[in-house]
Amino acid sequence: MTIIDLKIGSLATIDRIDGADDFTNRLADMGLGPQVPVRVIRVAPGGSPYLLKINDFYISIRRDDAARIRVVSA
Amino acid sequence: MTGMKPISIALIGNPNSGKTAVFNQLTGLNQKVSNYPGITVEKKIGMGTFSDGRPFRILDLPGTYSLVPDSLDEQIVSEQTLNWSLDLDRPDVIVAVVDASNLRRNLLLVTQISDLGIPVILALNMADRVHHDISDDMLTGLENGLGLWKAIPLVAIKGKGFKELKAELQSVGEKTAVRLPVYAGLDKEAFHPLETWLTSELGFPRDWCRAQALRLVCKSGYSDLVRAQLEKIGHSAVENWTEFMSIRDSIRSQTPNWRSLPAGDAGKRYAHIDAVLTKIKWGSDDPLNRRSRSERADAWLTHPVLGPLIFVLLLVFIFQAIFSWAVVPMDWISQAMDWLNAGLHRGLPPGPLRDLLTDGILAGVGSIVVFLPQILILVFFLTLLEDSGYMARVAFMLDRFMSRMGLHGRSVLPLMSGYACAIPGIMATRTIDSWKERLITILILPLMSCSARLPVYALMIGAFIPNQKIGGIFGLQGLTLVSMYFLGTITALIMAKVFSRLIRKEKTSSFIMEMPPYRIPLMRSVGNQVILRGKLFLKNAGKIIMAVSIILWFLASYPKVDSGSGPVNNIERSFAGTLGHVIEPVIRPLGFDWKIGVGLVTSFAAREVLVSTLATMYNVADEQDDVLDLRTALRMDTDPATGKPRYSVLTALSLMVFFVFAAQCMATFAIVRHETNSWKWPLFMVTYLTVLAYLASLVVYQGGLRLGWG
Repeated sequence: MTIIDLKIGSLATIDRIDGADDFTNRLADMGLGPQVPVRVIRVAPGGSPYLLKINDFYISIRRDDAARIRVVSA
Repeated sequence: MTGMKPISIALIGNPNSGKTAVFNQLTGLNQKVSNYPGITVEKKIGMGTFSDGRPFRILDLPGTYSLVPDSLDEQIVSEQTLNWSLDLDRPDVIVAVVDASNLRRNLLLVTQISDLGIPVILALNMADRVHHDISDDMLTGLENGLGLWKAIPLVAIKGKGFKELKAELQSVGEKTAVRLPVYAGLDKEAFHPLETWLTSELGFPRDWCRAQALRLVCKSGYSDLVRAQLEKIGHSAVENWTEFMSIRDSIRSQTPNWRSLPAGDAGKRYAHIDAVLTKIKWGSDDPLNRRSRSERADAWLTHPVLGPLIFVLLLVFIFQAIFSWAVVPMDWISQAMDWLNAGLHRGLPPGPLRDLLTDGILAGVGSIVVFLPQILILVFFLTLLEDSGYMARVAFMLDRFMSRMGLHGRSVLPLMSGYACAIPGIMATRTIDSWKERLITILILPLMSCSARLPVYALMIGAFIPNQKIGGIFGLQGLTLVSMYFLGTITALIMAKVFSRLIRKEKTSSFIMEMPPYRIPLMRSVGNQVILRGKLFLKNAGKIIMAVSIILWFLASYPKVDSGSGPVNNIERSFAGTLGHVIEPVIRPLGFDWKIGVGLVTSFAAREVLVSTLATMYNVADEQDDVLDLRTALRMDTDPATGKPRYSVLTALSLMVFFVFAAQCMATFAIVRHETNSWKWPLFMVTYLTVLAYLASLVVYQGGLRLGWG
């Protein structure tokens, strides 16, 4: 299951992040990695990008990239 | 107390941490903006004096999430910190600005800079947004847990906490003791040979080497950067660089997952941060279950229907401001120019010098300076949108559409600014992280019909498009004007799509954008930005404008012919006139004669110069001097050979279409040269736009002739 399988508003925990190292390293810098809880706040018109909440901040991330974040339901 | 060595301060922090507000509070307007050599990231340095008279100097580094160099901004910060460890411009103290309401993520960078062995003062900005009290125990806990010199709560936009910060900055310069980093990075046995090499070759402290070793192994770009830097300062370690490469390669071969190690390092740093924050009971409530004020506001402001509607209303308001409010100061500038012109005419004897000053420099510079009010108003609103956090929402709402066109959500506002003037638009593309998407945005920006085209459209429409109504509602003249704007915009989007196929991507970029909370912009910051942008515009555009104005004036005034043959002949026989005649065969298929040819040559300075050039040619001939008469003059002008009118509706349409596309603006050229730091891209831009303009006009004119509209 990835971010894009989650319902808007739902809470989940990151399991693993796939994709290029630049991408995973960048998300790691921002504090996204295994065991980090995340909430899907909103999707922009057209189905991309996604707005996610991690701790106290929000990031927007395109649908293709959101599909690389594997999660387990919290 | 002059002559004292200033205390050197470096300001580091995440994007959106309020770093700029802290910088502005500390320095006021006393700052210098330049570019880092070779690239277009701004380098801001501020100066000031402490209460005891000691001067200080602050370097404001670009906002960054990490010292691992991925983006351009991060590269700058990495390069700077590297210089410091090589003892170049090493600051006395680092102020790490963090958003206290989002402390965990902001502290990652702080753990990385505490490796440097330079005293770090933690500025807990936006302390009023933290949902609990900040006790002294918490501050002490942060200082000890993270190896900080001092932690100070601040509210930068209200100017709170600066007395304490300044006091601490003053005292830190007098002390020399350094705390060791609490967490210096991932300790991998495989890295030890490199750490040893770095310690012996570069003389770095061991703790700093550990973090360096990780970056050097995992980022080839970073090791290139280190090498280049060492070469630049003539460091002896460069001679042993092959040694470094072989150590690095052997570490890589022993460590199969070396590429993903930065993520592992970040994970460890976060674990350390979490331990510190838990111990001091910071942020113990449950943020994911609490809807912030910004989140609630976004339910409306990024609503699928309301969101875009609100955005459109805001745009309408901004453009209203640009096109109606700016008229007043623009008139003042015109009047001032006229007054200066008249003064020079009275004060100087007739001759080449007077002509150069009035017709050359004053006319050329004046034609650009007159746009300054519009640019300042636009920059004001753009800064307001950016600083309030709204720009990120626009990027979020429109990214889907823009990315399909090969652009970026953040391209929207720069492109919109292009309707007023391409220059602030091109400067505003700096917020686009991906170089490719930024470049495409810059390249298509001149296609957005800027306000300098309006005088040309107005002249041609007024002279040749009949004032009729279609279907009793829409005026034909207005429709023509609107269709010119449409033509430019649609072409811009098509070209973006074309360029996104043609321009190679340097590396896979992803759209990861922080959505900052809404904030009330600090008016002082907005004001600074407006002033700085205005200065940059005048300085950058000014240099080239001055040069080109003089050249154009020379071309239009020389060689001088005997008096008595009349001014129209004078310009006809000038270099510009000759040029007009030379290019006439080329532009005849577009329906243009040599006079328009001269206008096309001179309007490279700025588009609206076409109007004044035509006016000069006709008005001097006919002794009439306002645009209304120019319209009549254009309509009445006949070809002596055939007795038919020279210009028709079709000529007007062809000329307007030419102006939609053509790159006639030396200021834009100068800014693109500056922003891309190359001659290649501005030259490419002018070429493709000129080809496009020519072809489009050819299709309009020849197609029109075939349809019998001539």
